[in-house]
Amino acid sequence: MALVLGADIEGLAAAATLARAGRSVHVIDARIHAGGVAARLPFADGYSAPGLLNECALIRRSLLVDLGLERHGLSWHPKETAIHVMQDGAPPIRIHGERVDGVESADAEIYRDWRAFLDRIATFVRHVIDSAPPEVDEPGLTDLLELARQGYRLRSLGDKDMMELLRIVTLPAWDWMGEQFSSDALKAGLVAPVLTGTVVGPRAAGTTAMMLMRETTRGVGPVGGLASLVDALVRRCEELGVTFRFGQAPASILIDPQERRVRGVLCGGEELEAELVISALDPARTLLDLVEPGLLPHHVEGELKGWRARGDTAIQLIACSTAPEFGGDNDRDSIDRMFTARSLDDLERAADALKYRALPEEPCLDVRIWRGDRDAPAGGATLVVHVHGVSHGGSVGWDDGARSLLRDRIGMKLEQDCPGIRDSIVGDLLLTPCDLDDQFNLPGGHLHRGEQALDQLWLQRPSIALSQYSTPIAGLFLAGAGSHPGGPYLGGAGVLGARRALNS
Amino acid sequence: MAAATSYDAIVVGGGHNGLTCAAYLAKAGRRVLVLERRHVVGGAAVSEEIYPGFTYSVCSYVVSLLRPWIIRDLELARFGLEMIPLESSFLPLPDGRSMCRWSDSARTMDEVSQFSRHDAEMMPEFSHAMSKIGRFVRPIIDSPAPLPTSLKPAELVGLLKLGRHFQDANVDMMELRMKLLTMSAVDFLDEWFESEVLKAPMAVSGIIGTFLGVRSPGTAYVLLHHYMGEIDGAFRSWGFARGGTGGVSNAIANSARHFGAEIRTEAGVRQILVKGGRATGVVLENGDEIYAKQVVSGCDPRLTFLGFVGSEHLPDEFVTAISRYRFRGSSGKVNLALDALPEFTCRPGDEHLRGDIAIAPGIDYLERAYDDAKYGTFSRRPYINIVIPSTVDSTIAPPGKHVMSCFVQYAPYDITEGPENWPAKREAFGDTVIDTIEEYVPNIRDLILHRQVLTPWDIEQEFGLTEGNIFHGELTLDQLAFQRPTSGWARYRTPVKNLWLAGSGAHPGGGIMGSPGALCARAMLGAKGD
Repeated sequence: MALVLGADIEGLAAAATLARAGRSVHVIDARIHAGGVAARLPFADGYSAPGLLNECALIRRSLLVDLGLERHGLSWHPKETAIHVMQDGAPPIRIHGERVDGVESADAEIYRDWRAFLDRIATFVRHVIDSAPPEVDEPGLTDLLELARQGYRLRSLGDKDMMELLRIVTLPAWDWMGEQFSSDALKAGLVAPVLTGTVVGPRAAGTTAMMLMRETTRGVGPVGGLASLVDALVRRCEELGVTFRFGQAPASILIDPQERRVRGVLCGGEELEAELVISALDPARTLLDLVEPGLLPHHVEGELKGWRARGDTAIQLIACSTAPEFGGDNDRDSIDRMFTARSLDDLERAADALKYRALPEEPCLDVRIWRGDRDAPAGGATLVVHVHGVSHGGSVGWDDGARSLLRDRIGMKLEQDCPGIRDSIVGDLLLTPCDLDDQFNLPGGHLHRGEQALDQLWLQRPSIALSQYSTPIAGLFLAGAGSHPGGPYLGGAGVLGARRALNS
Repeated sequence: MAAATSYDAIVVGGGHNGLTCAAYLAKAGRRVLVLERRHVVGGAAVSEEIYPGFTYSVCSYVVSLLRPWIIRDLELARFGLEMIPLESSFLPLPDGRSMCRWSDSARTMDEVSQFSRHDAEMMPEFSHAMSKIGRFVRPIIDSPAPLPTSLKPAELVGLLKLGRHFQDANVDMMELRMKLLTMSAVDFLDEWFESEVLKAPMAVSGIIGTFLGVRSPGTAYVLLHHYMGEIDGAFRSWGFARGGTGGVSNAIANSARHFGAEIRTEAGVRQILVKGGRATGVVLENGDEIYAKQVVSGCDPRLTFLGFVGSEHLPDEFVTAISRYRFRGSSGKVNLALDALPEFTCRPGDEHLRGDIAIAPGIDYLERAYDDAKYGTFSRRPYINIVIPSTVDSTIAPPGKHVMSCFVQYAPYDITEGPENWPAKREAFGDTVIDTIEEYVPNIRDLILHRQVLTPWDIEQEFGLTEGNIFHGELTLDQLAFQRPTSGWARYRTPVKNLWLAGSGAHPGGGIMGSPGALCARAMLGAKGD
């Protein structure tokens, strides 16, 4: 018997991968249904959000392909979702894969060269994202081979691209973008998506690395949003005989102290026996809260205590009786996702608020618009609004005053780019990082169970000793968003973690 | 043209690295000429009597990184170098409390435990870990940067040596080091300590000379860069040079002269002559041409290549790389002549004034200071690092009087009004610094006999440091090691044959270290003539 803790996308992907290999699998989740933040969330009469995450372009399709989810109702958009960036006194610019519209011709040309560079390094980056990080403490033959393979792929980029990649990988996005483009809106539109999940602004080192990862791996999203991916995963799991236990959080992981081997999980006063436990919960909660103290080596505990998962984003779901027309009449029907930041400085100022645990004066919004009859009545729309720069607590102290202040500031920003929108709002739901923590079991209120930062990626996600999904406890594995590739690279950690467990 | 090649090497710029390079070359028997634009040698490591009777360490004010092997090789003690260790590190707080870290660790633990027992208990372990990491990093700053992507046997041997060095430590140490490269100073210190009173003054080491905040990723490395300081083998010990920081430069200059180098001051270079892709000499500001087999620049990369050489003599890609190389000076300096020793309200007396004094009362304070700079103005309440070297060195001020040196961050070079408008804001900047100090020393204004204010613009104009960056370019990960100043050219050579780079814009970077100059000389002496 294999137990999977957590039924979010990673947990479901892990469960399906294990079941497909013939294991009998039982999934435990404290919530009453599967999907976590990716599940469909009804929030007003006739309105729902097909998942809370706005970034649907980074699903690891290449790793999920073996699960055959398309047979269970999953389909993919034919084209990538375009990103619109609002401007003052000019129509929004539109970033759409290989093209950008609405900027000066010089910028459009530089953008093409820039994309060409990204295309050249894409194979290398994708390989890193879609493979388990090699063991570097005591590397075995396969680890050395994998390191050599990745080294070889890096070398094959040629001197020029390789050195450029090494140069920029630690650069702040602010500097990298400054070297390339002159349009403030273009720079903001390219950087804004990677700030969710970080506590920093564009001036922080490492933001370029996040951009490189995103720009070389993004693709089309699932039709119907992440909720459709969740639905397909649940159906596939059920077909494979996976059983679920909802509404009960695991109380502890049972371990044989002599052999340091997992025995099962204590849940709802019941001992569930298992030879494999795969946790999609965050690494610190799994190993520090659920494992009895003293069973882990001292240095592993130390590393986990340093694991950072500070919430950075609040989400407001907004029900609009009529679909909003952002940026005037221009291209209005095609706007599916838009950003309100005009410049990198706007994004930086919003992120500054995190440092002081205060509310951003001028929030920067990432708005996903869901039209149609599934998530809103005909003619209406559901808006999923992400606000970067909002912390879990601190001086904000989430009372009603703070909530209504944040709502007002979001409303003012929306009104700026879509005059009259406030009159069409018929309902809303505000989820602060505090709410995400309480309602979605996300410690710190962090959407990805661990900040995206250079020292928390790849070999260091969640730490050098734990980045190969296995733990010092035999039979206990990590396969959540706090493991590589983690974050918004949905499904990757679940599949790679489960594969590692199967090979052990 | 018989006299044309009478010098084996010309060193452009008589800063401490240029002088170090010259001394090593002269010691190896080369005929060397050092050309310095100002009337004194030392560059930013200089002592000057700006106000009668008071000697300021005008720019650089403490010495920590000067390599012991250079002190030995160049016999600097014999040539007048005398180091006086800093005895303490004092943090006054606006609420009347204060903390002082002493060279005596038991005493420090006592002070720290007033704020946090936990932190006091962590200190020995922290010091142990940092010195362990420091030992790991030291070979990196004492040898040329290995190129991690090369397949050449010599490079691989260098990498293997480093690899073995890596292996000598256990697992968590390795994690620590990887983290150190990419973390913010605050995140790193958060893993050890709880009290801001300890963390804030420690974290500032991570931002000195960079345009980053203490919460910016990558600053943990800069923190380590400053932790590598050693005087006579003692770790994390900073010191003053007797007679001011110029004492270091003067000792190196004396050593260079002893070995036969010729040093000319008030001999500014206008141009580095390039013929057929080779450096052949220099043109002085007065129009004189001097020829040499080799030319070494102790100046920063932008001044050297885009100022003295000219982009027409350089490959386009190299010009792009040098244009992208970031300076962004972020600090200024206020030097004061004082009528008497200042008294801090929170801790009267003078015992704690013989080391450095940090105005860094909290992490948020430091971040707000950075925020001001990000949006184009100097900090309304800056981080200030104060030293009063006259408390331990009687040669720099009249009896009973004192010299107070204030390093101030942030003062961004690129203010909203444009850097050329800094002179109009100079005195306002100086007033802000004094206002800040006044919150801790209420009568400071009554004590001031003379005040010298240096903005980043002044530092650029007077000392030739591009954009006022004290390290010849930011110490960020993309500008360190094999990428300093740019990948492919981190071994002191340049795309122009016979032209070498020996300043802080070369590996291992800034601070009064001497390594770039010494390693450049070593590379030149080992190079086959061409």
